[in-house]
Amino acid sequence: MIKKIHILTLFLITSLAYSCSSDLSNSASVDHFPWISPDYSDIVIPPNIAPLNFILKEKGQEFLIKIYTNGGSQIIIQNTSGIVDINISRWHELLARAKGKEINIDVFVKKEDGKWYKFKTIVNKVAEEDIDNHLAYRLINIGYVIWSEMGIYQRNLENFDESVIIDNKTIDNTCVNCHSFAKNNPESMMIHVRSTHAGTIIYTNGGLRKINTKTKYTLSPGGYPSWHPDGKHIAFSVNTISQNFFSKDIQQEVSDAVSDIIVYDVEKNTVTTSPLVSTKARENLPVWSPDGKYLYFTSAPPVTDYESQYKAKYELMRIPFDVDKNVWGKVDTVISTKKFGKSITFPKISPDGKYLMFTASNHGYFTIHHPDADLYLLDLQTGKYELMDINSKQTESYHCWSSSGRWFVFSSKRMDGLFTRPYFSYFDKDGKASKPFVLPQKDPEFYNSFLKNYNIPELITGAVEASKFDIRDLIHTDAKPVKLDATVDTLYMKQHLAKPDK
Amino acid sequence: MQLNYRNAVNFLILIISMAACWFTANVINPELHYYIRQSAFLTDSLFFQGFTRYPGGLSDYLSEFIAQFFYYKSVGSILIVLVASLQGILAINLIERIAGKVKLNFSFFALILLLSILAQSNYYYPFYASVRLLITSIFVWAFTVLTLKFPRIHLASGFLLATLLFYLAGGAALFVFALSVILIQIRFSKDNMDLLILPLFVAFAGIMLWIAYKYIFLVDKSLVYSIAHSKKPMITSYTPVLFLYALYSLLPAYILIAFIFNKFHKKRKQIYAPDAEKRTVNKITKINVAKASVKSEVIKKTNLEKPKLKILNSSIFLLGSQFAIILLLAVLSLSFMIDIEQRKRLLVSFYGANGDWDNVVKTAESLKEYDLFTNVEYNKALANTGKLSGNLFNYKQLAGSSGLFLDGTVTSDVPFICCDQYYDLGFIYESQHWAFEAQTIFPNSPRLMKRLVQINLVHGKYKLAEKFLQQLDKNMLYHRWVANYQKYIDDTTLVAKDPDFSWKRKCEPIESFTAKKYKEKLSKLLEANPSNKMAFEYLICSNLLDGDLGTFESRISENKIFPMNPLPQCWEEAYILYCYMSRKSPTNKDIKLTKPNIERFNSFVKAITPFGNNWQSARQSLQKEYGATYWYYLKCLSPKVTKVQIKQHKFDD
Repeated sequence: MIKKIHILTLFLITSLAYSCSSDLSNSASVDHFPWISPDYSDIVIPPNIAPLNFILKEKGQEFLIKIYTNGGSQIIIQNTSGIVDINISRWHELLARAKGKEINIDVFVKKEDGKWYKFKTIVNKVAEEDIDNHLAYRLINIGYVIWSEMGIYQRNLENFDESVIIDNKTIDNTCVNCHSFAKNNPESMMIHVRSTHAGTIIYTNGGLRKINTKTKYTLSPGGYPSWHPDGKHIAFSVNTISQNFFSKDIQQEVSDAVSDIIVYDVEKNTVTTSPLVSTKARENLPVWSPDGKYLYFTSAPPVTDYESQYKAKYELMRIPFDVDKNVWGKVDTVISTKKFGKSITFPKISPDGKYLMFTASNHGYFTIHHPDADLYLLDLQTGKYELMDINSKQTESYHCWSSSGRWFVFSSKRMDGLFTRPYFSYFDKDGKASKPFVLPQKDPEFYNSFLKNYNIPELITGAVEASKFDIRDLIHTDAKPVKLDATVDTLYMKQHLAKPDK
Repeated sequence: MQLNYRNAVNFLILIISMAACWFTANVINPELHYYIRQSAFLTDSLFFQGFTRYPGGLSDYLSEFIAQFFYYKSVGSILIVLVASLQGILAINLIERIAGKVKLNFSFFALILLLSILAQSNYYYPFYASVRLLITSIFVWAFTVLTLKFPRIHLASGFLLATLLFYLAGGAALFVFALSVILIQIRFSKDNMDLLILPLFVAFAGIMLWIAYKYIFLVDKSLVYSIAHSKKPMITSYTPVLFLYALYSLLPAYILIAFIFNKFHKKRKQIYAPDAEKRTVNKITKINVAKASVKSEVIKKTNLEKPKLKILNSSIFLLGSQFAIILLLAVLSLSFMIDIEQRKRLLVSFYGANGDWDNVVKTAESLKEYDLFTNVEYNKALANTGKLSGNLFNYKQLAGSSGLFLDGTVTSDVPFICCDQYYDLGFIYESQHWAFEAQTIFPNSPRLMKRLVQINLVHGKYKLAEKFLQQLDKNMLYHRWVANYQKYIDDTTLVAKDPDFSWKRKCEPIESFTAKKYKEKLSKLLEANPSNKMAFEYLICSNLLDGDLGTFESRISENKIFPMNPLPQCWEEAYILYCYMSRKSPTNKDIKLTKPNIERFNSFVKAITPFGNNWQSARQSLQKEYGATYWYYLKCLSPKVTKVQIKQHKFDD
């Protein structure tokens, strides 16, 4: 019986394919690519990504889409809506066969004259290397000062499953932010909680705890984080943040009056800093080198007046730091503002340590509202840096490398100039990035109606296993205070914090 | 007789339902509920999914669907009364099934209706609380029917219904259901074994809440346990009041009454019980059906033989008493609960949001107490009708220049008003800034979507305008508005041809700047477009309210927008005062001060002389004659004189 059904199904599919092909064999050629949304053409695809569903924006009465590999299997979708909703298992079969090769998309449109038209074939490459299979991000409305609902979520990139890590509705609508992972590892995670129930949630070795990183001798609780590759230390900036509102495209400017850097020891529950990274200048956005020997960070001159606070340009610095011995080296300038002319933010080093990707803008460090913000790539071996080809006229800002270094994700507002969406790009061995594509969704028109921003996209190698219920319950508890490391020069820090400009 | 009595009850129920409809429509006004909550019911799956993730979410979804029709006050009032009435009808039916006729049907119904309307008299009341209660009533009723029809499975059904109800309507609903089930179970228990299951049921309900919170639904505790869970944002926060708890207690209380009634009136119960119930009840009480029928016939006959008049009189008396008591309760409670002043303040805001400027002015002027938000709305209405310079002091400007704009401290209640105000002024980027602040609180608000469409049309960002238009189109009630604005997307040249849009494009400040004070923003607007009359008026009024007559005079003298002769009333009064204090004549020869105003000012000066610096005494004496003058404001009302700290809005935190 089952065999008969299979034969019948095969017959129907063959008949359909035959009937279509007989119609399509006479189709007229159109000398351009079809307009598809989102734009999934001429891209490099991770072999484990979810179906790249799209919608055809061409006018027509009927549509037929063939997705195939040369000499391999194919997926045929025929409908009158132009919506391409690809079967997930067939898609993964196709990708598995196309690994390291190309997949083609043929689009046929039946127009009002009853004839079929074939557009130029879209050719996409399928990479050999998988992308980390999860993406963690915060979903938040655009609002600048007021917030209500937000949450940190994780999306399985191999399908369309999204799950919550923490939803602020469960914790009195307080602010959650700055989720961060050690080397893309979902088993080493931290999340800040602001306002009500303030503290930092640390998830390591399967255990959760809540700490308060503010000490008497440091400026504020930990801000922008970076996990040390050993998974036992986290560097934080400590900032006094304020906001200004502008009348034009850059509506909001987030800037710091003062900022320093601290390092938190996860095992000892201590915080350390040094006069070298707690200066009058505004040290910010620390990031470790993959070998864990250097701490890169940005730095801007001290605030002298109102304008110097938000118009400042940050340069890229680094300092050697031995986490085991708690010994700081000398600060070096990596990219000088005077030479570069722009302000540097969000430095992120590729896992192989060869490249440093950063965002640059005309001023400031909080570039998500800066349409001029673009991604740059610094070759750490040659010291040369250049504007990446993947930029658009709109904001490109936060970014994150995959664990292999072959992929990266970045925030971009290129879709409409307003909402931040995560885009992926393949990064080849020669340091070239492929044309980016947006996070695929089951509904290809999802982004047209989704009014939240994807904030801080972080690639992780698996799902965060920490229980969302445990995280919620922990947030409701008091934070455990951290201790100041005994080596910190408290006399200096006291004077440093007491100064009028700090 | 029974028929007559029942008809009388039904008639009265109909009457009070109609009265409730009228009252809800005309006094409470569902439009204000719609306005406060910015109800949006979207027809997409994403919107629906959000309601499936917590217990009670599906009731909330249904409530959102119903509440969108509060947009129309008549439809809204009918729906509010309908939801309450359905609960009342279910309660009556339930009681009849439990205890037969108790002749308190009218009271049962009326109390539910009254408490529902009372709950609705708070404009922050979340309507889902009523919908959840209605669903609870349905479940309790269903359980009772199952108990009577299928006594063997009713306990299992109780557990099943409890679980389902908890998911549909939340923890408070489960609590009401559990209490009701216990009472019903006691009422219909065959033997002690039936009662033994009750502790298990209580434990089941309690554990279900705990497990749901700990392991199933990632929610706040209040979302599991409370009747109303809207704690934040503050602008929509609601704390359940005694009336709401009373409303939620009514159903178990009715069952308890029926239970007690049944205990003392077993015979009557046997007479009434409808066939199906009668069988079950008789089974339970182990009375032979046939015997019971015969007995009931005998009793019916006996009843018929009773003097009809006596029964009629006692029934009418009972019904009349119930009606009188309910009426008294309604009058007392409603007059106590309805805060007319709060309603008026809301109306001012509502009219302001809808551009109904005449009603803003009229309603604001009828308020007895000063209110900062009303003050701002009042000034906004005057600015939009070009009367700011003429009628400013018809409302007590107790906050001084702080009563013109609210964009100082950012709290959840100011974004909408700032968004509208800056849009009216043509400062579109600033309006957008506030629109996005508001969107964090009301992500799908139709009012906001409309504004974002307009903002992006002015900015020429048609793709974004279309995005917000599509979002708005997911609301059933805005298709026409969407169709009207879709034409601007289809033909973008129409935007420039639209007088309002093209005017606003001319108003936007050109350079990028940051300004913390609204006066700087107004100055920038005037730099961008010197003919921005509204910006100029606001700026001048800020000078007046600050008592900065020097700046006022120089701005007036140099102005090219307003005619110098005659000056608007407030300006002329200020100018007269300026000349009096500075002992100067108008610098601009075009400015002509009118004789009646000069004479009136002279009489004002004479009138205040006896009071010396005692403005408190002067204020009362002079108010009638000079209350609406600038002079009176400056000497008696200005915060510089009164040193009054304007009471912050209740949501400021």
